[in-house]
Amino acid sequence: MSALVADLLLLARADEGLIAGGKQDVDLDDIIVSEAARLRGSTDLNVTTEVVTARVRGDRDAWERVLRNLTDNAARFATSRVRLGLAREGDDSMRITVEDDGPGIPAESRVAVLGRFVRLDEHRSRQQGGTGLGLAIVHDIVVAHGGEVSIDDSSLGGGRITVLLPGPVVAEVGGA
Amino acid sequence: MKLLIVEDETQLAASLRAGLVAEGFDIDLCHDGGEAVWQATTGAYDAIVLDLMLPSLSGAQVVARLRQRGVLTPVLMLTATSDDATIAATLDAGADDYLTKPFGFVVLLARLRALLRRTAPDVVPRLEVGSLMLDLERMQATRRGELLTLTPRETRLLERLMRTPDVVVSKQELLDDVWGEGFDGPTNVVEVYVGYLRRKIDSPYGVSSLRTVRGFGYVLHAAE
Repeated sequence: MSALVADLLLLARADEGLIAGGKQDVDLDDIIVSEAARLRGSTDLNVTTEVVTARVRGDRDAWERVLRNLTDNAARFATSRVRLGLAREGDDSMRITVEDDGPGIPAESRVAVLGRFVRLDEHRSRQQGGTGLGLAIVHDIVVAHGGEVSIDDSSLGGGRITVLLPGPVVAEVGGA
Repeated sequence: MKLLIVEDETQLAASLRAGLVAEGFDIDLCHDGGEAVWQATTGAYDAIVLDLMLPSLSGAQVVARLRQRGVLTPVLMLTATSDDATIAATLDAGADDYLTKPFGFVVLLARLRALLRRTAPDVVPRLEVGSLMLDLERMQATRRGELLTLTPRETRLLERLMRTPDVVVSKQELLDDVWGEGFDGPTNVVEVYVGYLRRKIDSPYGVSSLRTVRGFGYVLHAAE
């Protein structure tokens, strides 16, 4: 129950536009690599990453939450594999992808699962299914940062959730 | 600095409190030995000023009980006698210093300062390299006293480099120490984060302490 309350409070913050107010440097690569390590430690899944370095300005706690929810969601449905990606999209946008080899999300439900309290399988209990707010939180935080979330099929066979985030990415400077 | 004063003569207690508050101390007062044990065990004090002659438990018994319970707060004992045996017994019970009544307030203050100096060394673990400082407890870095806003990974990279100032550290070593062995993230991660770090610790201050040693690695210089 306390998880549900915490989730609702977080959504309320996103609703009020408080989340994007945080203006810290956020290392997305660092968060994704850490989440991959966490999943490997807590599950038997084969977790792979394909990540470039990318830094955005925003709310670090909120981005950690986005990646935590996305990876938890993928791990919940995956049969054996999860793939995390972070890539440049054009000059100053970036794309985060989280894929699994589970049953996938049917095309007609893809908008609905980004809403609140939606679980596709009616029979899943709260224990198995989380609070039903995980992807809604992802959606709201990403939108608060000016991005968008979409869902399609993964080449792994399951679902792929993509977060597209407009730049500017903090320019990287090499070590030379 | 927070002090516990245990003194049953209410007038002396009140004037001690007034004097010490004026010197900037936070003061809790207590008039009874048994209560003093409880208060000293549950509160976080930097030092205790303890009268030897108290109702319920003597000052020597109080300090003995505190030490038995592992409370190591420094204790300055106030005694009404300068009798050798009493003073020896007081110190043996666990008091750190003593003062014989009547005493001057200036002497009390000096004894307290000496006690706090001895028993509370600078306990905040930190690293310093040139004008860079890293508080290892809060993981907060400063350059010339100005707070630097670093991300968690930047902070860990800085910490690693500050642990071996003026020593060249290879890219692989940094990768293993800062990102962990078996890291499967971006291959250029070290170069990129070194670049991030330079823009925060060096460029704004017109210094170049974090240098690339081509073919070998990176070095953080103490001299700017």
